[in-house]
Formats: sequence, structure tokens, C-alpha cells
Amino acid sequence: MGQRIEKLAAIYAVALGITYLVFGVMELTLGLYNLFPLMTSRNLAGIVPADVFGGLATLVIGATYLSALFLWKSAHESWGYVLVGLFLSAVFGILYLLMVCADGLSSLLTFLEGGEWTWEWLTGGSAGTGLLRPEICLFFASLPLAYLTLRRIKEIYHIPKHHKSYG
Amino acid sequence: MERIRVALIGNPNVGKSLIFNNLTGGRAHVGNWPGKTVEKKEGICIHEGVKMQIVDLPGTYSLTAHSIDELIARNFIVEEKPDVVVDIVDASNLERNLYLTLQLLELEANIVIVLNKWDVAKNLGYEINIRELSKLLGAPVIPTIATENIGIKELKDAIIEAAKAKEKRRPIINYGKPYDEIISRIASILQRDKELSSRYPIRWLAIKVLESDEEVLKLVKKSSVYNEVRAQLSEVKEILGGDLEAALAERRYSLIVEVILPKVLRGTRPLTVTDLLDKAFLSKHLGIPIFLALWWALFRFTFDVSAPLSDLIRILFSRLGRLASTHIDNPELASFVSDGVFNGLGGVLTFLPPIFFLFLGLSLLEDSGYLARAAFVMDRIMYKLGLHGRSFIPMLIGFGCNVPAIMATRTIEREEDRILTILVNPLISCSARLPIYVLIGSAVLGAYAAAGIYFMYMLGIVLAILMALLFRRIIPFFKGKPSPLILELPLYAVPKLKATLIHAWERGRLFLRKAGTIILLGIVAVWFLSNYPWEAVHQEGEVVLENSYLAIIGRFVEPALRPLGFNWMAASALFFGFIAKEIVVGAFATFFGLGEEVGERLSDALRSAGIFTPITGLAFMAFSLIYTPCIATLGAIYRETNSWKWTIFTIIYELALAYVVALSIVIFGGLLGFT
Repeated sequence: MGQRIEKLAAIYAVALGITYLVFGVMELTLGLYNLFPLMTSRNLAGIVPADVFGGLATLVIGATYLSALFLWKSAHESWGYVLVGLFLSAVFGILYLLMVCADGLSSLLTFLEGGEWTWEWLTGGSAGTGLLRPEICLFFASLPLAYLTLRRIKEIYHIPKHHKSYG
Repeated sequence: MERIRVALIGNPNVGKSLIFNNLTGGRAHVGNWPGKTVEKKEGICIHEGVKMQIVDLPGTYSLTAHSIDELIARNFIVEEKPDVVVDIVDASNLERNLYLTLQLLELEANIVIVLNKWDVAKNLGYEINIRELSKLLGAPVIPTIATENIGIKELKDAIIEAAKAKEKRRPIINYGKPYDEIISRIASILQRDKELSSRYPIRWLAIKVLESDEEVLKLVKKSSVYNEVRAQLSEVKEILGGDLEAALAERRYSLIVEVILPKVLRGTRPLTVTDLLDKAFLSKHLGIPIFLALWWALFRFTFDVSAPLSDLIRILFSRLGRLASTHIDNPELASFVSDGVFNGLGGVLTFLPPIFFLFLGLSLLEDSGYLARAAFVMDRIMYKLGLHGRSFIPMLIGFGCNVPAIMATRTIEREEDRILTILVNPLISCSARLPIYVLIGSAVLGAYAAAGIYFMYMLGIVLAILMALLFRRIIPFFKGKPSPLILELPLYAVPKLKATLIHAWERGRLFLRKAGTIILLGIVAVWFLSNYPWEAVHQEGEVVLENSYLAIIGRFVEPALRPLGFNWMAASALFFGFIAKEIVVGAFATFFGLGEEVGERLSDALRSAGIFTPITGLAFMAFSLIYTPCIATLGAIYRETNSWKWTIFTIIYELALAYVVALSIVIFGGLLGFT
């Protein structure tokens, strides 16, 4: 049972890792492309934002998930990569959600001050592509892996790391 | 009421500050990483009619004289002779923590041993026989869980009991035949010096002489028996040879591992979530990228998520300013209240939310136990580049404020490493620079504002490392290899919201206090200089800033900064930033409160004024990061180096470096086609 969960988790983590890497490369490329003054600023189909550092961070999440590959061989300590991958997914997913909310609040304040109300914060704003930001979707896509991980971690928590005993 | 003096001592990160807070009701900073207490802190605890003066000493692994914090702790116990010394031991790591306990016993201090983190030890599967431990060490042992205030009452009782008994604890270490004989021989010589024998435990002095402890040797040199001691010491060194300090330390560890632990400790250490997380966080390949990714997340959180709160403060102050200018008849007073106080100070306070968000994020990282890992992964690069690994901890503290960061260098043992770390620490972006980055970034970098801020923070770290490398290569005083980093990695913990918010508040309120004092004074000065002579500046309802005293100062500095693309306004803002960096923003807020549309975002006003292009804006951010530290930081540098030479050197090298970096940004930006 444990080995089956580990194989399933390895496949899921690798799939997530590859997806993160793909989006990371796209965000980074678009970001670098837009950095130069002669090129025009554009988000790819309104989904992938042009974001150099954001893209690099997404690449790091992808690389962390991919490092969990050794779970396939039941290397217990590889759960560490899954845990940290999940942690980073959550950090960035929640961060971009908070940024969308903050943009919404700023729009509301502008409106209350007599400015015009717009919905741009939902699909643009500081997160680049608002709620469509890939890291938000990938955070939700990571939740089933979080469930599998927590289940398995509870089982392996008491495996001794080394048998150094004072008794 | 009876009064006693109690010292708290322990290894770093054993929960000492938390126990100090539990005993005194104080609010000393508590965090999940080592090295917070660099000075002794004091508080009062009244229990059962006894008034206890509690002194929290810096965390230390031993009582040798290698670093300032170890010396502070040792000197307090030896010289001040507190009634009771509470030795706080991490119950989940007895092997290392008991080393300090053995040294305290050698000092014949009246100790009470606290086994803190009792819950952590239990969770790890350890069983500790408290009665046996107490019997072996000859001192009371109290288990505590400081995070839940468990065992604190028992601790207070034990302290009072120990103070009443006034027992000198007995050294229990048997160093083996040759060493014990030599210690006795040196002790009997030292015993003849009445002054020494009345002030210090003689066996401890003899051991320290054998270890060639510099501070103790200085003491003994003044004694009449010094020649005899020296003769004995050279004889011993010839016979035993090698490193006697290391040999004695090995004996102490043998006693812990071979005698004490087998009798008191049962259990096997299981695989923990901390081990799993460290697999990735400390990974050779992923450790640093993960650190950089988390840092990026922190800056987006700081910059973007706090924005609506900044807007709220801006709206509030612009309304107050409007109210003042409408209701105050005297134009000079109206200008002072509206432009000076509300627009100037309000302009600075607008940056309170990002500062709080930064501290909130840092507190989360710290309380979770991650920051110590960040120091560990960065040490790999820093050590290779010739910077002491421990330097990264003061650098991390420097992200809050450079003053405590410079004080935190006291944990660095070698003087050369310590001064080197002090010299490069002001290059780390403190929170006072954040408002400048946020303002200029928002004004001229558009969608890349957050990236610009992140770049500044990374630039600070890179420059600090590069300058350390350079100084080590070219300044003879710093030549040599730094000593390696020894850092305890705490267990990961889920941060508690209340504690994290308190940490963020404790750090953030310093900014508020500063805003009400030095920043306000600086802004008033800027307002005065930018509004006077009144008649020349205020002509027929128009504000002609060019006629102000400030313009005279700005124009004086401007020629030097013109190659960087800074006009006289930018030059005079930088001039006042020497007092406190936040005044740079306050100065811009005062300028654009004069005659501009009230309520407009300061960044929008700055953009409309066309003072900066994206490239000169970035150069200005870099210049603000690097150029001369604020007055408080310079004071700390002088205090900690005790040298005008190093203080003046810091001012000069930072000014030169700021100029070179800002000019490089302007030149390379221009070459790449940015205008």
C-alpha cells in the first residue's frame, strides 16, 4: 500500500514539476523579451504573465517537485522534496491570490475616491494575469498530492533515521 | 523584601529569552534561531516574597574567551557572582548542551538546571531520568515547556531554594591522571595569591591557565606567582604537547557521552518532518534557489499586498492636509501643517504597511526555523568567498535595521572577521531604505517595480560579499581564512500567529517611534529650507522652489551627482537622508506637497515631474542603498569597532562604491537602449 502511494505521488509530483517548469520557462522568456525597450509588452494569451523573477521562482518549484522522482524507488527522504514543493506551491498560490485581492481593494478605494470602477484587477493587475495566473491553478492542482503526502508522512514519521541509542 | 540576583545562561536557541519573558513578564524578542541575545537583558520577578533580579546572558556554547558574547556571559558569572545561575538546557539535545553545564560546575556556580523543550524531547521519543541527572550533576533539575509556561512556577521555587541553600556546586569532571595532577599543581601555586584565591575558583583558574585562556593569563600575569605558573605551564606543554584546550574539551565530552547519558537517557531518535524538509531546504543544488524564490515571494508580499493599506494612509493624510490648508489663515502656519507635517510625515507613514508586511514575512520565516537554514545554505558561498559564515546572521538582521545587526557581530570570534562583517553590513538593505525603493520603483519602473526592489536587496547582498572578498584580498588586517560556521539548526515549527504579529509589531514600532522623532525633525528642517526665504519662494500664489535655501544646498551638491542624472531635488533629498534614510522620501513628499495637487499619489507626482527616467530612478535606488550609512548606524560602527579609522573608512568606501554602481547603471542602461 505504502509503495503504491509512493509511486503515485512520484508520478503526480513529476507531472506537476514538468508543468511548473513549462510555465516558468514561458514567464521567464516573456519577461526577458519585454525587458528590452524596443519589444512590446505582452502577456501570452492573457494567461502567462511576463515576469522574470516570478518565472525563475516557478522554475524552482518545478525543479523541487522533479527531485521527488526517487520516491519511485521508495527513498523515504524524497518526501522532503514533495513537502517543500507543496510548501512553495502554497506560498506562491496564496501570494498571487492575495495580490489579486489587494488589487481589488485598491480599485475599490479609487472608486470611493471618485475614480472609475474597473474589473481589470481580476484578469490583470500586479499578478500580471489576475486570477488566471498559472501558479494559482497549479496550487489547487497540488492539493491532491498534499493529501497523499500527509497520509504517508504520518506512517513514516517514526522510522528511525539512525540507530544511535543511549539506552 | 529579600532580594536575589539570578543569571540565565544556555546554548543559543534553547528558549532562554522565552523563559526570561515567562519569569519577568517581559517582551524580549523570542525567535526560532540562534544568536538573538547579544547583550545581557534584565528584568524583575517577585515570587513568594522574594524579589529576583533576572539577567538574561547571551547564548553561548561554552565559557571560553573566544568571542565577545562568551566573555560577557563568563565575566558576569565570575565577576558579578549572581546568587543563582539558571542553566537552560535543550532536553532534546543533551549531548551538546551539557558541555556548558560542566563548565558552570567547574566555575562552582550555584546552578539550577532547566530541561527546556521537554515536549520536543518526548515527541522525539526520549526518556530522561531527572532524578539520576540531578544526582550525577549535584544540582536541581527542573523540566519545562517554556512555550506553554509549564514548569515555570517549579523553576521559581527551585531558584529561591537554591539561593537560600547558597551551595557551591562541585566540579565533577575527572580529567584523568596526568591532567588532574597538573591542575592540582597549578592550583596549589595560584592558591598562594590571596587576591586571586578570594576572587576566583582556584581549580577553574588552573584549568583555564592550562587551556592558555587569554583573559585568565592576563589576570595571572599580574600575580606574584606568575613566574612559577609559567614555568609549570611550559613544562607541561613539553610533556603533554599538542592542544591542551582540545584535549580537556574531549574529556568533558567523554564524560557526557560515556558516563552521564547512558545513565539518564533512553530512546532512539526517529525520522522527523524537520529531517524531511531539510532534505530539500539544505540541498546542495536547490537550497540557494529555494532561498531566492522565498525572498522574491517576501518582496511581492511586501510591495503588492500592502498597497491598499498605503493608499488608505495616503488618503487620510491628504484629507488632513487639505483640511489644514483650508482652515488655517496664516499662510506660513498652513504651509507648515499641511506641507511639512501632513504631506511630509504622511508621505513617510504611507510606507508603514510595506515595512510591517516585510517584518511580518521575516517573522514568519524566522519563527518557522527557516532563517537559520538560509544562513546555513548561504554559508557555502560566503565561506568560499572569504566571508565568515556567521556573518550571514547579522546580514539577515540587517534587513530590519543595521544597528542591531552590527551589534550581532559580537557572536563572531575572530576580531578580523567581526570588523569585516561590520564594515559590509550597512550594504544590506535595512527597512528604512524600503520606502525609497517603493516610491521610486512605483514612480518609474512600472510593472517592474517589485523586480526593482528585489534587485536592490540582492544587490546589497552581492555587494556585501564582493566588498568582503575585496577587503580580505587588499587590506592586510583582514588577510587569512575565516573560521568555519558552527550553527545549530532548530526544529521547524508552525509559527503562532499571535507571536508572529508581536514580533512584526516590535520591529515595526521602531519605525513609528523614529517617524515621531528624528524623521519628523528632518522633515521640518526640509520644510523650512524649502519654504524660506518666504517671500522669494512664495511669489503671487506660485511656489518657486528654485529660490529656496534647499535649492542652494541642492545646487551645491548637484554638480557631483549630475553624471548620475540626479537634479538638485534628488541631491538635497540624499543630503538629508544621511540623518535617516526615510527623510529622502519625506523630502520628496515635502517638495510635491508644495503647489501640486493634494491627494495625488506621491509616486504619480514624482513621475509627472519627470525627475527620474527608469534608469536614473534605478541608479537613485542603488545610490540610496549604498551611500553613507545613517547617523545611528555610524554610531553603532564606532561603538563596536572602537575606531574612528574604520568608521570614516566605511563612509568613504560606501560613498565611492555608491557613485561607481549608480554610474555603471546609468552607462550600461544607456548602452542597452534604456532612456
